Amino acid sequence: MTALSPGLPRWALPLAAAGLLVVAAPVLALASRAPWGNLPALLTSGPALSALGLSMTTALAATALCLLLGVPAALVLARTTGRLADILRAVMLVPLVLPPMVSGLALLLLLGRRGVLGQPLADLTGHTLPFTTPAVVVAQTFVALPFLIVSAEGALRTSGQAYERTAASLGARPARVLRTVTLPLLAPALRAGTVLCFARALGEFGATALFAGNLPGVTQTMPLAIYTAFNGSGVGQDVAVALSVLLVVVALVLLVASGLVGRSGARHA
Amino acid sequence: MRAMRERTLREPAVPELVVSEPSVLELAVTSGPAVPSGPALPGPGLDAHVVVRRSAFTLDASVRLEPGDRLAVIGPNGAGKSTLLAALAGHLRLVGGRVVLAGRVLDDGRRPGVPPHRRGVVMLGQDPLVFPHLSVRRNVEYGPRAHGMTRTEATRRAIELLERLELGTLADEPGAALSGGQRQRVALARALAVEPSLLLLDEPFASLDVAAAARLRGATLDLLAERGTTCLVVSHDILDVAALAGQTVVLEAGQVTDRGSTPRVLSEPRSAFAATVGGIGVLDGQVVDGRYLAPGGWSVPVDAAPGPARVFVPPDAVALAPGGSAEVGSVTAAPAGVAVTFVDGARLFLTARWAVKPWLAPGALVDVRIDPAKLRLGRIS
Repeated sequence: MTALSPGLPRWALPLAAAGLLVVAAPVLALASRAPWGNLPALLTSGPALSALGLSMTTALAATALCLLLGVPAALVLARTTGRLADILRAVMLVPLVLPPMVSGLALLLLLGRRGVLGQPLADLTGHTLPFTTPAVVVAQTFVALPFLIVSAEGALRTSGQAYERTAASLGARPARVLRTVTLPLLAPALRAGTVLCFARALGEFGATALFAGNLPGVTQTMPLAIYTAFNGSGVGQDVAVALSVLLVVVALVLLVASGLVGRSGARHA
Repeated sequence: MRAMRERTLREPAVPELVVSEPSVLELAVTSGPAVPSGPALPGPGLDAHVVVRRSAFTLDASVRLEPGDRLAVIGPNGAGKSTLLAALAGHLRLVGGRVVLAGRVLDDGRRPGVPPHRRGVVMLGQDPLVFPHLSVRRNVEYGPRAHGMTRTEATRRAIELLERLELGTLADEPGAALSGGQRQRVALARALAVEPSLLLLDEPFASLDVAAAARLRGATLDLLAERGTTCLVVSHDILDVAALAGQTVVLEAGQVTDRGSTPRVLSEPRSAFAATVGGIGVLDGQVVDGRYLAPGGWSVPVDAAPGPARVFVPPDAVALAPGGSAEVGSVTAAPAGVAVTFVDGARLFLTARWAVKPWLAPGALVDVRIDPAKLRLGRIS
């Protein structure tokens, strides 16, 4: 047993143990009830593969969109000061605190058939966005974007602009400075943000359910498939449990990949 | 320095006080506005009149440099030195004045200024800011490549500079793997690789140990002199100022309070700050009947006309002994050694060896001996 640090009060230990149990117990229960013997067969069944494939492609697409939009947003936020910066940051981080169902509803009111943008879009092109696969990507991007912006902006603020100024004084134009100095130096922090972003997109349920719907093969991602199983339709419950186990494993892999745990844990936290 | 006895002189004959060049006698002023800088330079040097508003004061200073010259800017903390550098580098806009470098107007406070990447002004500060994700060689190549030089040519130039600074063997090391002194040398090579129109040095050796600083100071001087780089040095270190710059400007509370050749500014300081940097005691007294009368009551024979006079006392002119009547107020470290302030307000600088005298402490009564042959005399107008 490792030694307790001398400054820790006695009652801290049982409370900490309880906290650990609250998180670990449900996951352990899942692992103990999982159909381990059947797992490969369950995961490669038609509906499971369909949900798995859809989740992975949409989450990857959403992450790519988040990088494209989030890094410039973080740059602007990090370089802006004062009240304007506070307002911009509040706006960009709204999805972080909004209940996912509300996010879905808001998206529907924007891009739905009778939505603010959806209606003109429908009139122009004859197509609507809700209940399509791209809608899943939109919903996932909406909820995951703040994760990327927060970690990128934090890293940019910490590193300051000293290296950029040096590069500029040596004759590098702003685009070159961004490409050769800012982004390479941002890369380690961006790794953590990207992984968190992907994890959030992968696990998204509420906004997807409301905005994209629950159509197998089109918009039924893994979380939706799991929910539907326990509502008595769609994939069987054992498939649902298998998918859940898979998501837990993916989560653990992502945690390590993000650098938040393990050797580099302290640096990135 | 009450009741300092009149000392018999070390020289047998009546000594002549070394009288400074006539210009000092005529121009010495206790305070006043900056000496105006004259008409604009025709050639490709630096001609800058910088007016920038800061929270505590307004910086209003003029500096002029011929190409290849090196100028030191000294002043207390908060005087505006960093502000001046930032304005020249293009990080701060002028509210008035004009910066002209190599014949181009960089900023005139009205139109948008020339952005930093097109000014040809490179700064080397305390923090070398070597790009950690690039190798040493790529760091030095960075500027030339940004200016459009081919990779071959940029590499050739980088290797040449690195070898000059004894960093040739480290060319492929990552920037982050070097010691402080090595990184500062890389930063210097990187700055010189772009052949800047103006090099700004902001306490460049402050984070190095004494030996490393001395080596790099020498190497810097050699390279700057060889390449004729126009340079502005900000430093609190008298070694930097004396070694690197032929001219010095004193900046206090946003105003230039003295400018001139470095030896003159440091050995005949016109402000308490410059006196501290140069380690020169400044005493204002009178010349009467062939003798200089110091405020403390002591006097020495001089060959000068009667009237108010200022005496500059270098550290090697002063010797103290315990058991006198001058009461010590405080003893503090000074850049050139030790500063002793007496209770009547007079301040003298001594060489560092006096710091170890246990009897030299606040409240002590000491005997002050000054060698008149080492004094310099200046007028107060």
